[in-house]
Amino acid sequence: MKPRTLLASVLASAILAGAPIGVAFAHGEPVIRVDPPVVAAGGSITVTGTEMEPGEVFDLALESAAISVSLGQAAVEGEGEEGGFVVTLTLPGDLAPGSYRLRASTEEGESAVADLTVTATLYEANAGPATVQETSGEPHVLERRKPAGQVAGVALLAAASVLLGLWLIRRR
Amino acid sequence: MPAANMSTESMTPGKNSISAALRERFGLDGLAYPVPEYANSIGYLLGGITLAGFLILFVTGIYLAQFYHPHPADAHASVVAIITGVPIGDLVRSVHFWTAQIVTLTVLLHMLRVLFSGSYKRPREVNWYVGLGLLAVTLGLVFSGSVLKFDQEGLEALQHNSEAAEVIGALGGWFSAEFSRTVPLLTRLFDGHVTILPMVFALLIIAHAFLVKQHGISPKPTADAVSRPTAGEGTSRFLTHVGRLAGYGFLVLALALLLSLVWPAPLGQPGVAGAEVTKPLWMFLWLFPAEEAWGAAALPVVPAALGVLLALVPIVDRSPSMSPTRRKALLLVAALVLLAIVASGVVAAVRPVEAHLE
Repeated sequence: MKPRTLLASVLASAILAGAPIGVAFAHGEPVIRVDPPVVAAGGSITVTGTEMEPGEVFDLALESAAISVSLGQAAVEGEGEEGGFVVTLTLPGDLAPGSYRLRASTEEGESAVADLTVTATLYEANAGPATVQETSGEPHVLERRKPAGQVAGVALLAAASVLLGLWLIRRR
Repeated sequence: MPAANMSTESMTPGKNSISAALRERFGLDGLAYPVPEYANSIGYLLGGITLAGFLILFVTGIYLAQFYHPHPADAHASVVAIITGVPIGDLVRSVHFWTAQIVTLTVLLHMLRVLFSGSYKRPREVNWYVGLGLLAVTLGLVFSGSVLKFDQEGLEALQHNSEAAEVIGALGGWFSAEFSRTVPLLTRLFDGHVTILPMVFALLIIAHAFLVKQHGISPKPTADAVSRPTAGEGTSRFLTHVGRLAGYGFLVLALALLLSLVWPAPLGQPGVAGAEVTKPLWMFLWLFPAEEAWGAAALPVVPAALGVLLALVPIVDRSPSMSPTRRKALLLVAALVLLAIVASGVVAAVRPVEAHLE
């Protein structure tokens, strides 16, 4: 191949390879942020979307292994090639506490996700000790009593520590 | 070799040959340098007792880290599993909790002793600042540790932390949820608790111990005492000091074990975001009245102001005299500040819980 032809081929290849990159720089992957990242069921969250194309409409959904709950839509506003949205949403009050993903997706297949931890509702907040669920469904305060053998062992270890400690303190 | 040692050797040759072999292999004679006799009193052992407590915390903490899940959705459940399903999990967790309380107390008493005895004076100013760094690391470890259980008290502590981070803007970036979109703040606090803060602690404690060795134990604060280097002086030996220190360390362990039997480390209900129904641990409780009066800004500003006051101590008091009677003004201010903190804590303890979060 002649050098001029080779050079032209290389240049053309570089331009074609750079085109998708150029398109990507003009409009990056959409990003969403959720605030606060830990929220009580029934509470409000603010979802901020960035790096989106103005005019796009994102469907917002809360997902976990068990459920998918639609939270509505958000329209992207802005000028030029960078757009975004800010929406405030209220979560369902009957959401089970746990780890969720908030997904924003368009019909064209673009999507962004953010993690969200949901706690129990504010009405369930209390300063009491932790409980465990009995098989009957009744909550039961965590059992903290130790087996007699463990109590005896710990007492012996504490006594040995005291004796060793006093010996070390008093020896010359 | 001194005559006394030779007569001892002839009486118990087997034991002394083992002792001599160990001293040679471990280079223990290098630790037999002189220290003053008063360095073996409990007032001058508080720093070492704190270090012994930290050793207990490292061992118990490593065990707990094998079973703890540092994610907001699973953290509390993993702590319940530690209590109910892990062998001696509840005991180890309680020893970890009570040792943390004891260590916080001993580090504060150590700082007060140093302040009272004027041990921050030249040439020991840098070690005072290293000590302040260790105090900050200790409080950081206690705070992050209290959040990790992610019960109601832990979640409220995290929410207060986030509010304080917003107040200090860019400086609080690491403490905000926006710093990392891929790793939750709780997970990053766990990383800080088990890697960043212990690493900083290790570096600072090496510096602290090195400077104490270089400068020697500060002179006793008698009426005519003057601050000066004292390395190489004293009628006792450092190994005796270490032995005494180890003894008190075992007493700390015994106390933590007994407290763990009687009062297991607390664990509340899973945290509910946005609720304020608990009070923080005693070392942070005194901040509540300030937060009530001045809002979230009090959370970073008041501790920072205290830090600045402590940092100014060696700068304000530069006279070589170590006598407390010649430092009445500084000690009076310190006493008043301490009294204000204690009174604030008592007020917060007796008042009902009030909502502060915005």
